[in-house]
Amino acid sequence: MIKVINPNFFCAKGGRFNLLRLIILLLPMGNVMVRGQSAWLPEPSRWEVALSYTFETFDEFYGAGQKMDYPERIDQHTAGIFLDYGLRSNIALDLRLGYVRTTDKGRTEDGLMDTLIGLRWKLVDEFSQGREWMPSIALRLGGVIEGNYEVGFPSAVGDGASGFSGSLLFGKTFPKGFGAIGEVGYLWRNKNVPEEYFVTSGIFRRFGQRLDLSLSYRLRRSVSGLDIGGPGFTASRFPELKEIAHNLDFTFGWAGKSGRYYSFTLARTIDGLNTGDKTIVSLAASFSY
Amino acid sequence: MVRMLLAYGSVFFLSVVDLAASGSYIGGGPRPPRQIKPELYHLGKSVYAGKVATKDLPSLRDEQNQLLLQYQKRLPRTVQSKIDLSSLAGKLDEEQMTALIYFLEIRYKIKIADDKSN
Repeated sequence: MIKVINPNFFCAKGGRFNLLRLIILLLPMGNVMVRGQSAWLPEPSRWEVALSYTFETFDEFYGAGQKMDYPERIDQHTAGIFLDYGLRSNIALDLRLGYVRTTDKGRTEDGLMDTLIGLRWKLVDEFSQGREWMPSIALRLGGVIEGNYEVGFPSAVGDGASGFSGSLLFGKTFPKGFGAIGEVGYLWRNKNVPEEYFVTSGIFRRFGQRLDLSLSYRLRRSVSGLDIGGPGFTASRFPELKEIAHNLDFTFGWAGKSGRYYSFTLARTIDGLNTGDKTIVSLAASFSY
Repeated sequence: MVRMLLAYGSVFFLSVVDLAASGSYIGGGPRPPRQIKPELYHLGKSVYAGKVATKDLPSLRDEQNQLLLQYQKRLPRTVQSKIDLSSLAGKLDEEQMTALIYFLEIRYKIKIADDKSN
Protein backbone atom coordinates (compact mmCIF):
# COMPACT_ATOMS: atom_id res chain seq x y z
CA MET A 1 0.00 0.00 0.00
CA ILE A 2 1.34 3.40 -0.94
CA LYS A 3 1.28 5.88 1.89
CA VAL A 4 1.01 9.46 0.73
CA ILE A 5 3.05 12.13 2.42
CA ASN A 6 2.12 15.77 2.02
CA PRO A 7 4.53 16.99 -0.67
CA ASN A 8 4.36 20.49 0.84
CA PHE A 9 6.58 19.09 3.56
CA PHE A 10 9.44 19.33 1.12
CA CYS A 11 8.80 22.97 0.34
CA ALA A 12 10.33 25.68 2.48
CA LYS A 13 9.00 29.18 2.78
CA GLY A 14 8.33 30.75 -0.60
CA GLY A 15 7.68 27.36 -2.21
CA ARG A 16 11.33 26.48 -2.74
CA PHE A 17 12.10 22.79 -2.69
CA ASN A 18 13.80 21.75 0.52
CA LEU A 19 16.27 19.00 -0.27
CA LEU A 20 17.38 18.88 3.31
CA ARG A 21 13.93 17.83 4.48
CA LEU A 22 13.92 15.10 1.86
CA ILE A 23 17.25 13.82 3.11
CA ILE A 24 16.13 14.02 6.72
CA LEU A 25 13.01 12.03 6.02
CA LEU A 26 15.09 9.29 4.42
CA LEU A 27 17.23 8.88 7.49
CA PRO A 28 17.07 5.69 9.54
CA MET A 29 16.37 5.74 13.25
CA GLY A 30 19.82 4.49 13.98
CA ASN A 31 20.80 0.89 14.38
CA VAL A 32 21.44 0.26 18.02
CA MET A 33 20.98 -3.48 18.12
CA VAL A 34 22.95 -4.18 21.22
CA ARG A 35 23.57 -7.82 21.83
CA GLY A 36 24.53 -7.81 25.54
CA GLN A 37 26.08 -11.28 25.57
CA SER A 38 28.38 -12.65 28.19
CA ALA A 39 31.41 -14.90 28.13
CA TRP A 40 30.20 -16.29 31.47
CA LEU A 41 27.67 -18.96 30.59
CA PRO A 42 24.70 -20.03 32.70
CA GLU A 43 25.12 -23.19 34.73
CA PRO A 44 24.30 -26.48 33.00
CA SER A 45 20.59 -27.27 32.79
CA ARG A 46 19.79 -23.84 34.09
CA TRP A 47 17.55 -21.24 32.49
CA GLU A 48 18.03 -17.52 32.76
CA VAL A 49 15.08 -15.45 31.65
CA ALA A 50 15.17 -11.67 31.36
CA LEU A 51 12.35 -9.27 30.60
CA SER A 52 13.10 -5.76 29.45
CA TYR A 53 11.47 -2.55 28.40
CA THR A 54 13.36 0.03 26.37
CA PHE A 55 12.45 3.55 25.35
CA GLU A 56 14.45 5.28 22.61
CA THR A 57 14.00 8.74 21.21
CA PHE A 58 15.76 11.18 18.95
CA ASP A 59 15.15 14.43 17.12
CA GLU A 60 18.63 14.88 15.65
CA PHE A 61 20.76 12.68 13.46
CA TYR A 62 24.37 12.33 12.41
CA GLY A 63 24.82 13.24 8.78
CA ALA A 64 28.07 13.60 6.86
CA GLY A 65 30.32 15.61 9.15
CA GLN A 66 27.64 17.24 11.26
CA LYS A 67 24.64 16.71 13.46
CA MET A 68 21.35 17.86 12.02
CA ASP A 69 17.86 18.38 13.29
CA TYR A 70 15.13 15.90 12.48
CA PRO A 71 11.79 17.58 11.79
CA GLU A 72 9.82 15.39 14.19
CA ARG A 73 10.71 13.46 17.31
CA ILE A 74 10.61 9.72 16.86
CA ASP A 75 9.93 7.51 19.86
CA GLN A 76 10.40 3.77 19.99
CA HIS A 77 9.23 1.35 22.64
CA THR A 78 10.52 -2.20 22.83
CA ALA A 79 9.47 -5.02 25.09
CA GLY A 80 11.96 -7.87 25.00
CA ILE A 81 12.48 -11.31 26.42
CA PHE A 82 15.81 -13.09 26.61
CA LEU A 83 16.30 -16.76 27.22
CA ASP A 84 19.66 -18.26 28.08
CA TYR A 85 20.09 -21.97 28.69
CA GLY A 86 23.16 -23.81 29.88
CA LEU A 87 23.29 -26.89 27.69
CA ARG A 88 26.57 -28.06 29.14
CA SER A 89 29.21 -26.46 31.32
CA ASN A 90 30.85 -25.01 28.21
CA ILE A 91 27.89 -24.58 25.83
CA ALA A 92 24.89 -22.32 26.11
CA LEU A 93 21.99 -21.38 23.86
CA ASP A 94 20.40 -17.95 23.71
CA LEU A 95 17.29 -16.45 22.19
CA ARG A 96 16.15 -12.83 21.98
CA LEU A 97 12.59 -11.86 21.05
CA GLY A 98 10.92 -8.49 21.16
CA TYR A 99 7.91 -6.44 20.24
CA VAL A 100 8.59 -2.93 19.04
CA ARG A 101 6.36 0.07 18.56
CA THR A 102 7.28 3.43 17.09
CA THR A 103 5.48 6.73 16.95
CA ASP A 104 6.30 9.34 14.38
CA LYS A 105 4.19 12.46 13.99
CA GLY A 106 1.24 10.79 15.63
CA ARG A 107 1.45 7.64 13.53
CA THR A 108 2.13 4.35 15.24
CA GLU A 109 3.69 1.25 13.75
CA ASP A 110 4.53 -1.99 15.50
CA GLY A 111 5.65 -5.54 15.00
CA LEU A 112 7.91 -8.34 16.10
CA MET A 113 11.51 -7.16 16.00
CA ASP A 114 14.35 -9.16 14.52
CA THR A 115 14.85 -12.39 16.46
CA LEU A 116 18.35 -13.28 17.58
CA ILE A 117 19.40 -16.85 18.24
CA GLY A 118 22.81 -18.04 19.24
CA LEU A 119 25.12 -20.70 20.54
CA ARG A 120 28.02 -19.85 22.83
CA TRP A 121 30.96 -22.16 23.34
CA LYS A 122 33.24 -21.38 26.25
CA LEU A 123 36.82 -21.73 25.08
CA VAL A 124 38.63 -20.54 28.19
CA ASP A 125 37.47 -20.31 31.78
CA GLU A 126 39.46 -17.75 33.75
CA PHE A 127 38.59 -19.54 37.00
CA SER A 128 40.05 -22.92 36.10
CA GLN A 129 43.31 -21.98 34.47
CA GLY A 130 46.52 -20.67 35.96
CA ARG A 131 47.40 -17.59 33.94
CA GLU A 132 46.73 -14.49 35.97
CA TRP A 133 45.93 -12.33 32.97
CA MET A 134 43.74 -14.76 31.03
CA PRO A 135 40.04 -13.82 30.73
CA SER A 136 37.13 -16.11 30.11
CA ILE A 137 36.64 -16.41 26.37
CA ALA A 138 33.61 -17.68 24.48
CA LEU A 139 32.78 -18.01 20.81
CA ARG A 140 29.26 -17.13 19.75
CA LEU A 141 27.61 -18.08 16.47
CA GLY A 142 24.34 -16.35 15.93
CA GLY A 143 21.47 -15.97 13.54
CA VAL A 144 19.22 -13.00 12.81
CA ILE A 145 15.67 -13.68 11.68
CA GLU A 146 13.94 -10.63 10.29
CA GLY A 147 10.88 -9.47 12.15
CA ASN A 148 7.39 -9.05 10.81
CA TYR A 149 7.40 -5.25 10.97
CA GLU A 150 6.39 -3.41 7.90
CA VAL A 151 8.91 -1.55 5.84
CA GLY A 152 8.33 1.27 3.44
CA PHE A 153 7.76 4.29 5.65
CA PRO A 154 9.96 6.65 7.66
CA SER A 155 9.68 5.10 11.08
CA ALA A 156 9.99 1.45 10.11
CA VAL A 157 11.93 -0.28 12.83
CA GLY A 158 14.35 -2.33 10.84
CA ASP A 159 16.07 -3.21 7.61
CA GLY A 160 13.91 -6.27 7.12
CA ALA A 161 16.87 -8.55 6.57
CA SER A 162 18.07 -11.85 8.00
CA GLY A 163 21.62 -13.07 8.46
CA PHE A 164 24.16 -14.56 10.77
CA SER A 165 26.99 -13.38 13.01
CA GLY A 166 30.14 -14.60 14.67
CA SER A 167 31.81 -13.06 17.67
CA LEU A 168 34.34 -13.57 20.45
CA LEU A 169 33.26 -12.67 23.95
CA PHE A 170 35.61 -11.82 26.79
CA GLY A 171 35.08 -11.50 30.49
CA LYS A 172 37.55 -10.91 33.30
CA THR A 173 37.07 -10.41 37.02
CA PHE A 174 39.54 -8.64 39.27
CA PRO A 175 39.83 -8.25 43.05
CA LYS A 176 37.81 -5.63 44.90
CA GLY A 177 34.74 -6.39 42.80
CA PHE A 178 36.03 -5.02 39.51
CA GLY A 179 35.56 -6.65 36.15
CA ALA A 180 35.66 -6.07 32.42
CA ILE A 181 33.89 -7.45 29.37
CA GLY A 182 34.33 -7.24 25.64
CA GLU A 183 32.99 -8.53 22.38
CA VAL A 184 34.25 -8.36 18.81
CA GLY A 185 32.08 -9.66 16.02
CA TYR A 186 30.88 -9.53 12.46
CA LEU A 187 27.40 -9.58 10.98
CA TRP A 188 26.25 -10.61 7.53
CA ARG A 189 22.73 -9.96 6.30
CA ASN A 190 20.84 -10.50 3.07
CA LYS A 191 18.92 -8.09 0.85
CA ASN A 192 22.02 -6.01 0.16
CA VAL A 193 22.21 -4.70 3.71
CA PRO A 194 25.92 -3.95 4.26
CA GLU A 195 28.02 -6.24 6.37
CA GLU A 196 29.14 -4.76 9.63
CA TYR A 197 31.44 -5.33 12.54
CA PHE A 198 30.65 -4.58 16.13
CA VAL A 199 32.74 -3.99 19.21
CA THR A 200 31.73 -3.76 22.84
CA SER A 201 33.89 -3.00 25.84
CA GLY A 202 32.83 -2.34 29.37
CA ILE A 203 33.90 -2.20 32.97
CA PHE A 204 31.91 -2.87 36.10
CA ARG A 205 32.26 -2.91 39.83
CA ARG A 206 30.31 -4.85 42.41
CA PHE A 207 29.75 -2.87 45.61
CA GLY A 208 29.04 -5.10 48.58
CA GLN A 209 27.01 -8.18 47.76
CA ARG A 210 24.41 -6.71 45.42
CA LEU A 211 25.05 -3.37 43.75
CA ASP A 212 26.73 -3.21 40.32
CA LEU A 213 27.69 -0.13 38.37
CA SER A 214 28.96 -0.43 34.83
CA LEU A 215 30.01 1.69 31.89
CA SER A 216 30.14 0.35 28.35
CA TYR A 217 31.10 1.55 24.91
CA ARG A 218 29.48 -0.02 21.86
CA LEU A 219 30.37 0.42 18.22
CA ARG A 220 28.53 -0.81 15.16
CA ARG A 221 30.06 -0.01 11.81
CA SER A 222 29.06 -0.99 8.31
CA VAL A 223 32.09 -1.95 6.25
CA SER A 224 30.62 -0.60 3.04
CA GLY A 225 27.58 1.15 1.79
CA LEU A 226 26.28 4.40 0.50
CA ASP A 227 26.12 7.82 2.02
CA ILE A 228 22.96 9.83 1.90
CA GLY A 229 23.27 12.09 -1.10
CA GLY A 230 26.54 10.45 -2.15
CA PRO A 231 27.44 8.65 -5.40
CA GLY A 232 24.99 5.93 -6.33
CA PHE A 233 22.51 6.87 -3.62
CA THR A 234 18.81 6.75 -4.44
CA ALA A 235 15.84 6.41 -2.17
CA SER A 236 15.32 2.82 -3.34
CA ARG A 237 18.77 1.90 -2.05
CA PHE A 238 18.26 3.27 1.41
CA PRO A 239 18.85 -0.04 3.23
CA GLU A 240 22.30 -0.07 1.64
CA LEU A 241 23.49 2.93 3.62
CA LYS A 242 26.77 2.78 5.48
CA GLU A 243 25.82 3.22 9.09
CA ILE A 244 28.13 3.94 12.01
CA ALA A 245 27.01 4.29 15.60
CA HIS A 246 29.06 4.92 18.74
CA ASN A 247 27.14 4.48 21.96
CA LEU A 248 27.89 4.82 25.64
CA ASP A 249 25.74 3.25 28.30
CA PHE A 250 25.68 3.35 32.06
CA THR A 251 23.95 0.61 34.01
CA PHE A 252 22.85 0.36 37.60
CA GLY A 253 22.28 -3.27 38.58
CA TRP A 254 20.96 -4.93 41.71
CA ALA A 255 21.36 -8.60 42.53
CA GLY A 256 18.27 -9.73 44.40
CA LYS A 257 17.62 -13.00 46.15
CA SER A 258 17.28 -16.39 44.49
CA GLY A 259 19.15 -15.40 41.34
CA ARG A 260 17.04 -12.38 40.48
CA TYR A 261 18.68 -9.36 38.94
CA TYR A 262 17.35 -5.90 38.15
CA SER A 263 18.96 -3.24 36.02
CA PHE A 264 18.42 0.29 34.81
CA THR A 265 20.40 1.53 31.81
CA LEU A 266 20.86 4.96 30.34
CA ALA A 267 22.52 5.08 26.93
CA ARG A 268 23.42 7.80 24.45
CA THR A 269 24.65 7.87 20.90
CA ILE A 270 27.82 9.94 21.04
CA ASP A 271 28.82 9.93 17.38
CA GLY A 272 28.01 8.28 14.12
CA LEU A 273 27.08 8.48 10.50
CA ASN A 274 23.68 8.03 8.91
CA THR A 275 22.20 7.33 12.32
CA GLY A 276 19.99 9.02 14.86
CA ASP A 277 21.33 10.77 17.94
CA LYS A 278 19.51 8.58 20.38
CA THR A 279 18.74 8.74 24.06
CA ILE A 280 17.86 5.33 25.43
CA VAL A 281 16.41 4.24 28.74
CA SER A 282 16.03 0.57 29.56
CA LEU A 283 14.74 -1.48 32.47
CA ALA A 284 15.32 -5.19 32.85
CA ALA A 285 14.60 -7.96 35.33
CA SER A 286 16.11 -11.41 35.09
CA PHE A 287 15.34 -14.68 36.84
CA SER A 288 17.21 -17.93 37.12
CA TYR A 289 15.60 -21.39 37.17
CA MET B 1 7.50 22.01 -12.19
CA VAL B 2 10.63 19.88 -12.12
CA ARG B 3 10.98 20.38 -8.40
CA MET B 4 7.38 19.41 -7.80
CA LEU B 5 7.83 16.26 -9.89
CA LEU B 6 10.92 15.46 -7.89
CA ALA B 7 8.94 15.95 -4.69
CA TYR B 8 6.12 13.66 -5.79
CA GLY B 9 8.62 11.15 -7.09
CA SER B 10 10.33 11.22 -3.73
CA VAL B 11 7.01 10.64 -2.03
CA PHE B 12 6.57 7.51 -4.11
CA PHE B 13 10.00 6.24 -3.14
CA LEU B 14 9.47 7.14 0.49
CA SER B 15 6.34 5.10 0.59
CA VAL B 16 7.81 1.91 -0.78
CA VAL B 17 11.28 1.66 0.68
CA ASP B 18 12.51 0.79 4.12
CA LEU B 19 13.70 4.06 5.61
CA ALA B 20 14.57 3.10 9.14
CA ALA B 21 17.39 1.12 10.62
CA SER B 22 16.99 -2.22 12.26
CA GLY B 23 16.82 -3.35 15.74
CA SER B 24 16.42 -1.93 19.09
CA TYR B 25 18.58 -1.42 22.11
CA ILE B 26 18.24 -4.38 24.40
CA GLY B 27 19.06 -3.28 27.88
CA GLY B 28 21.44 -4.49 30.56
CA GLY B 29 25.09 -3.73 31.07
CA PRO B 30 27.91 -6.08 32.05
CA ARG B 31 27.60 -7.87 35.35
CA PRO B 32 29.68 -10.34 37.30
CA PRO B 33 29.40 -14.03 36.45
CA ARG B 34 26.42 -15.58 38.16
CA GLN B 35 27.66 -19.02 39.13
CA ILE B 36 30.97 -17.88 40.58
CA LYS B 37 31.50 -15.62 43.56
CA PRO B 38 34.36 -13.50 42.24
CA GLU B 39 35.22 -11.84 45.56
CA LEU B 40 35.45 -15.16 47.38
CA TYR B 41 37.44 -16.65 44.51
CA HIS B 42 39.94 -13.78 44.43
CA LEU B 43 40.38 -13.80 48.20
CA GLY B 44 41.02 -17.52 48.06
CA LYS B 45 43.51 -17.04 45.28
CA SER B 46 45.33 -14.43 47.33
CA VAL B 47 45.47 -16.78 50.33
CA TYR B 48 46.73 -19.58 48.09
CA ALA B 49 49.43 -17.30 46.62
CA GLY B 50 50.55 -16.13 50.04
CA LYS B 51 49.49 -12.57 49.44
CA VAL B 52 47.31 -12.27 52.49
CA ALA B 53 48.45 -11.53 56.03
CA THR B 54 47.83 -14.65 58.11
CA LYS B 55 46.82 -15.02 61.75
CA ASP B 56 48.09 -17.05 64.67
CA LEU B 57 45.27 -19.41 65.64
CA PRO B 58 46.76 -22.51 67.26
CA SER B 59 43.36 -23.74 68.42
CA LEU B 60 42.35 -24.24 64.78
CA ARG B 61 45.60 -25.85 63.65
CA ASP B 62 44.62 -29.50 63.89
CA GLU B 63 41.22 -29.08 62.27
CA GLN B 64 42.57 -26.97 59.42
CA ASN B 65 45.55 -29.27 58.91
CA GLN B 66 43.29 -32.29 58.55
CA LEU B 67 41.17 -30.56 55.90
CA LEU B 68 44.06 -29.01 54.02
CA LEU B 69 45.84 -32.36 53.77
CA GLN B 70 42.79 -33.78 52.02
CA TYR B 71 42.87 -30.98 49.46
CA GLN B 72 46.63 -31.32 49.08
CA LYS B 73 46.22 -34.96 48.03
CA ARG B 74 43.67 -33.97 45.38
CA LEU B 75 45.82 -31.32 43.75
CA PRO B 76 47.31 -32.11 40.33
CA ARG B 77 50.70 -33.74 40.62
CA THR B 78 52.41 -30.81 38.94
CA VAL B 79 51.00 -28.51 41.60
CA GLN B 80 51.50 -30.71 44.68
CA SER B 81 55.24 -30.17 44.65
CA LYS B 82 54.85 -26.41 44.39
CA ILE B 83 52.54 -25.74 47.30
CA ASP B 84 52.20 -27.05 50.86
CA LEU B 85 48.65 -26.29 51.97
CA SER B 86 49.17 -27.69 55.46
CA SER B 87 51.68 -24.90 56.13
CA LEU B 88 48.65 -22.62 56.35
CA ALA B 89 47.04 -24.65 59.14
CA GLY B 90 46.38 -22.55 62.21
CA LYS B 91 47.04 -19.33 60.32
CA LEU B 92 43.70 -18.64 58.60
CA ASP B 93 40.57 -17.17 60.05
CA GLU B 94 37.20 -18.58 59.03
CA GLU B 95 36.74 -16.20 56.10
CA GLN B 96 40.19 -16.93 54.71
CA MET B 97 39.75 -20.68 55.13
CA THR B 98 36.36 -20.63 53.41
CA ALA B 99 37.81 -18.55 50.56
CA LEU B 100 40.80 -20.86 50.14
CA ILE B 101 38.58 -23.93 49.95
CA TYR B 102 36.28 -22.17 47.48
CA PHE B 103 39.26 -21.27 45.30
CA LEU B 104 40.62 -24.83 45.36
CA GLU B 105 37.23 -26.26 44.45
CA ILE B 106 36.80 -23.92 41.51
CA ARG B 107 40.38 -23.80 40.26
CA TYR B 108 41.23 -27.48 40.52
CA LYS B 109 37.70 -28.91 40.55
CA ILE B 110 38.21 -30.57 43.91
CA LYS B 111 35.16 -31.47 45.93
CA ILE B 112 35.48 -33.02 49.38
CA ALA B 113 32.37 -33.89 51.39
CA ASP B 114 32.99 -32.06 54.64
CA ASP B 115 30.91 -30.39 57.32
CA LYS B 116 32.96 -27.21 56.92
CA SER B 117 31.79 -26.74 53.36
CA ASN B 118 28.08 -26.91 54.32
